[in-house]
Amino acid sequence: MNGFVNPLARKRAPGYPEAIDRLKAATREQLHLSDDVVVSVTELACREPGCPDVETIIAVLTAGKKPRTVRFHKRIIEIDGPELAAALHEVES
Amino acid sequence: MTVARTIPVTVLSGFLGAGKSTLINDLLRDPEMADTAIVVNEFGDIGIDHELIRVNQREMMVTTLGCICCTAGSDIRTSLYELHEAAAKEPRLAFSRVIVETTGLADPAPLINQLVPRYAPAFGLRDHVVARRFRMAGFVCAVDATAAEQTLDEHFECLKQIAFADRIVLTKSDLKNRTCRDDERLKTQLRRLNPSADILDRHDGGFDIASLFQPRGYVTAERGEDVEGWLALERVLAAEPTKTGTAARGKRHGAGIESFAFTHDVPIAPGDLANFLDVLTLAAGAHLLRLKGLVCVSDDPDRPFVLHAVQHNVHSPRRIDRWPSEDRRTRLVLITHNVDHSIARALFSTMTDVNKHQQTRSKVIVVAVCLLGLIALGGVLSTCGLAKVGMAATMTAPHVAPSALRGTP
Repeated sequence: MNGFVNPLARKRAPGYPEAIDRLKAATREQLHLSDDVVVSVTELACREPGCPDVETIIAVLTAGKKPRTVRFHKRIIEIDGPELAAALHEVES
Repeated sequence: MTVARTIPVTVLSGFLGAGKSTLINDLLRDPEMADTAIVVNEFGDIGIDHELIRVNQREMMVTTLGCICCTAGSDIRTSLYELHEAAAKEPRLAFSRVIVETTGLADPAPLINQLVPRYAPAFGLRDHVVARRFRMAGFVCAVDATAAEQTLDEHFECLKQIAFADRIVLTKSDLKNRTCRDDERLKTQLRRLNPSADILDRHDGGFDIASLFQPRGYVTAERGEDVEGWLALERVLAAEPTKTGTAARGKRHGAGIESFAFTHDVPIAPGDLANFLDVLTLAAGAHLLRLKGLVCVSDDPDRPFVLHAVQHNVHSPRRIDRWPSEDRRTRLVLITHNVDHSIARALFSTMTDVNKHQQTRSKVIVVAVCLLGLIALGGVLSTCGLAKVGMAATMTAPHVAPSALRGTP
């Protein structure tokens, strides 16, 4: 087994798994969601003419209710905490 | 009244270069799997995967072009209906199971919504026949053990494919420089993304390819909250009107990911092909998501090479005994991320054509590609208005780097 760990190796930047966990946790916390509410995070090519290529959709799916969604014209891993908070604030109000 | 038996459909997914076609070829070597129908979905306008899967007399295969998830899954119902109709007309073509090989970039959500009853509305006879005659019977995801961690960080599709799987099969774990610690770290990461899937290793002694595709119940609720959420969201989006008023269907991948193909009528010298692959993989690096192809090589034009490359890794070319079809042209399909097609095409022409008059100019382009990379060079040429110079360049390439092709039989 190779036990060598290079101390100078470049640290791995957080990728999709960490980013999705972060966005879901922040959404749950800000919207005070219970465990039976599903938060879904997905990334698609934007389908609207004139829009940027990529679109991230965060959806709050509650049984029997219309889904609530927030959209960002960027990749999942590019969304930061303040802009998520601002977008969710609009959904709340 | 005779009740018709439903035919199990197993989805085989996995990111570009994960080894899906290899798994199917392994499966089809088993005589008990002879009555298998294969649906191969290819990303791009020129298909090649269907040529790379061996199909014997009793097996049937249909190929669809254009990513199956981008066509909102409608292709899968059409393909299954066509298989059903073909077997109904010709008893010799009867089959007892179907394997759907998705593109490496496929989002599984639209596909699963089409295959699981009641998730997507049925329209017309076709959909009702498919719902009555076929059932979803498993989702296998192939994971390249050597590239999975980087791919997971950079491509959302890879994460989704893993999450939908009820069986994950590690491939390429036998390649050099892999350690037990690497494998355990990867398995831990996979279990975090999908705690309920079985994780198998293609290179374990007891690995049984037939049991991997053994039909079983596929219950989306068992796949976890993320999968249920993606399926529900997909149905919401599919029903959502767009600003243009059309149905919400479109391409699923960012504009940076594209597929393009080269065809070439003249046999290529082995050294020239080796140089092209070396320079391409060196310059494009991780932007070359996938390359696959059949190549007519001048030393033995009747026995083509099968080529595979994933990002930096060019797998050892394999020589096959004969062309799989009457089409004997060299065909290369590239799937790339933010790569200028014209530059890649110019590189191919530069490295494979013989025109001594262009040598000096072409050498400059090859060296520039090596130094700057395809993406940077594309930007420079566009800025300087020199793209046409690159496209016009043709020559016999200098041997610039060692390659996997050299030394092959």
